Amino acid sequence: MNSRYTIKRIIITTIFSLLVAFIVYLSATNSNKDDHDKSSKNTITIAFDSKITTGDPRLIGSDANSQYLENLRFLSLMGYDEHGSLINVLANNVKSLSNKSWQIFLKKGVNFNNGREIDAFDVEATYDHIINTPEGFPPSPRKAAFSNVLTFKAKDKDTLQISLKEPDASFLNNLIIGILPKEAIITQPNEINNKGFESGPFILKSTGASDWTLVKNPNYNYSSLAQIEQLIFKIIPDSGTRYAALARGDIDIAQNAIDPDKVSLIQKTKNSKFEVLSAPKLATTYLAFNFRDPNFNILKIRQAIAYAIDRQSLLQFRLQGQGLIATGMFPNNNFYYDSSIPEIAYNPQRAKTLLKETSVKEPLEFIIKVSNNNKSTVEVAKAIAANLKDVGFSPTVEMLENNVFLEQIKKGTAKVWISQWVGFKDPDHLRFVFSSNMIPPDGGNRGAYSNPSIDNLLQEGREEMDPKKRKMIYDQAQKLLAGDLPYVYLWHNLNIAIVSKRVKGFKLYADGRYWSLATVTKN
Amino acid sequence: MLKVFFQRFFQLLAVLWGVSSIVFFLQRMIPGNPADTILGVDASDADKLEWLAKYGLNDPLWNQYLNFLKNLIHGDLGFSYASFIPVTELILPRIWETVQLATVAFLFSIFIATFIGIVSASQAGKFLDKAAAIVSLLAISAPSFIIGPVLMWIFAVKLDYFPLMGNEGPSSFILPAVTLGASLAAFSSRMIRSGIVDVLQEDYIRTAKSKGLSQFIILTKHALRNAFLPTLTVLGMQLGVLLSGAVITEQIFNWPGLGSLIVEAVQQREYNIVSGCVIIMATIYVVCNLLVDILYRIFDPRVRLT
Repeated sequence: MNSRYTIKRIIITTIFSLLVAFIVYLSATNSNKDDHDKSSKNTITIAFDSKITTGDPRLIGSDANSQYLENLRFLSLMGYDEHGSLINVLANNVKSLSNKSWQIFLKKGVNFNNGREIDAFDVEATYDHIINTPEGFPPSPRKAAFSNVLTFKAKDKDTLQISLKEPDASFLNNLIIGILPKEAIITQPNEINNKGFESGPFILKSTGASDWTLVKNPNYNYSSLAQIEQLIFKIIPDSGTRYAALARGDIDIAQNAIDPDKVSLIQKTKNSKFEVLSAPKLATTYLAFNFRDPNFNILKIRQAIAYAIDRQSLLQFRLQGQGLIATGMFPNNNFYYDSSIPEIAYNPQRAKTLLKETSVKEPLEFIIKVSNNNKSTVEVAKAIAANLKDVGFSPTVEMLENNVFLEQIKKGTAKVWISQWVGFKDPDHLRFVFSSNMIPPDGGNRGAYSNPSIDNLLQEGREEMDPKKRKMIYDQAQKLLAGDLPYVYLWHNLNIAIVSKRVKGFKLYADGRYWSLATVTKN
Repeated sequence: MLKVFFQRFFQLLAVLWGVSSIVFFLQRMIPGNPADTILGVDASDADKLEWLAKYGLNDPLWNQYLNFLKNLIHGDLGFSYASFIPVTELILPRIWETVQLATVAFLFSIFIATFIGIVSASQAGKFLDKAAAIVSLLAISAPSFIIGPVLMWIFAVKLDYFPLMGNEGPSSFILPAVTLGASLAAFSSRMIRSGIVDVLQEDYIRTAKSKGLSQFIILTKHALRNAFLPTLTVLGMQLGVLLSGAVITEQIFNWPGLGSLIVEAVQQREYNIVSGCVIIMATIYVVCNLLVDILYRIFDPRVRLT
């Protein structure tokens, strides 16, 4: 009896001691952790709403956050300016030999972090790895960008020669991939960091489950050295937590990471520690129709829907004015914006008349599908459904998990949906979206819209190298599209950044990149 | 005893096989695949098929399943499709973070539940007991996505007493642990309270009182021990839930644990990471239940493990 109780006491005492030891261990280990000095003028903390999947340019796919960091760590041949126009970075001069071949001359004297000059053989090796990934390496998600390449050759250390199988005026947009030194190509992706392979204004210091830290590249010689010593990218998936971190002063910059209502709140706060920057973004929200459905194949029904939507009120009250009414795919600061296309004004009476002129039985019932990716789109869809009910439609809104949503619109089972195109840089995007050759699985014409005149114009635009002539072609195509209404364009979203007033010189880029961090300062 | 351990070990293997198989097939049944998220949904089917083929994701499902089982037996959970980092490398540090948080939340729950349970029982029917009942009801009813942000806003943003998010030191544990453990503490306190109230009617308590023992000794030494047994089962089951179910709390407090990893992985269709996380969670759950059985026997020698 006594011995059993003694054993029991020993076991209970042991468990209790282990628990106490565990707590002491927690205190000891955690007190050694780095305490980021959030108030330091040498550190800027940026909030991201989703993870950074990889730091290897060969492995970066559609993840925008990985692209943003790539842009700060690795120089590329081409890049984009604040308005989203293509500019030379490592390329000094791009000579177009025809609409399917180019000669690219590299800038001289630009070095990797390890001190070696970047040459055309590095570019060739990087692209070759992506196109012909050797055995034992993961496949590159960027390979598709080079599917039209016939040859890609470094003629000498300063010159690259590219030729394509088919003409493609938009091809240079693919040359935005960070260049690795040729000796890095045999390195596995998870071993590529901290080896001096970077060439951008910042280099990687560390990665964690919820943050990536970059530090100033001391050997950067493309332009002047960065002013800030350290950048911390905090990944905070919960929108409430991101706002709390901002309110607490843990975050210096949050770009497109704060809900519209909270942005309004910050704007209205007197003596706020933050300023709100906004600029047009390469993003367009639209309502799309499935032309396979007999009802939405009728132009008058599409027009009725377009006239029934009060976009001005939606923008003002649902999105707190954080957008610009769209008349086409491109925002008004884009070279390919066609100013002659009029805005479709809210006119419910006209919508009712148009609907009555069709032989469709009222109320016309259908489902508007939206993805759960964007909370504000769901709110917008409900408001649009209310607008449409006023004129004789009977829509319901169905919110789907993003992958389910995308599968349904690609398979053509959705009749009407609201979505967004983001980050398109070249007007060839119109071909991807509206050409009859681009009906899924071949492209992004998910509504199966078909117009031979549009097909011809968009192919012509793809093959034309002169920007002025291209603009004329795309203006013509956009006018036809405005008449056919395969999409009701709703608005162009804005890039909205909440920036601490201590940070000076932060600029918004149309594609959301953080290039200005290379020159910002902090008080 | 040894036989029981072997039995439980084989049960664990069977559970792991079942769980990993279900997760394997379920993931491949839902719409979307890793190529959609990594190449982008608008990549052509030909590009996607080529990409999937490199990872063997185009093979017949049974081939994929057999490969998966073969690798699993060798302890190989595969790579992340997006970063090519081994899944074990991604998961191991996350397990430790989740275990730390769940343990602190568990200890907090036991401490609070025992304290409130004893006080309520000793004051049964009086003001303190009723107040504890209301607070417990609130804590049980309020989900963690309400408790967490409220605590965060008051104690981290407004008062700046604790870190807002992440694991930056011992004080980082307090808000997420309270959020995670609140419901369990409230529920357990009611169980302990009712257990003690029942026990206090027993003859041996009357005997203890007649011996002149103090109320404190009666409550803690005689009543609590017997009242605690049913609670122990619940606590044990809940430890598994805390370890595997901290998803929302981890998301709110940006805790770098398994919960936040699995949420990302499901969205990205990272089959290997999801499978790895689920297998780990299932193992933890089964082991916790085994530990409860053993503890039960220690507290009550009449119980035999079978």
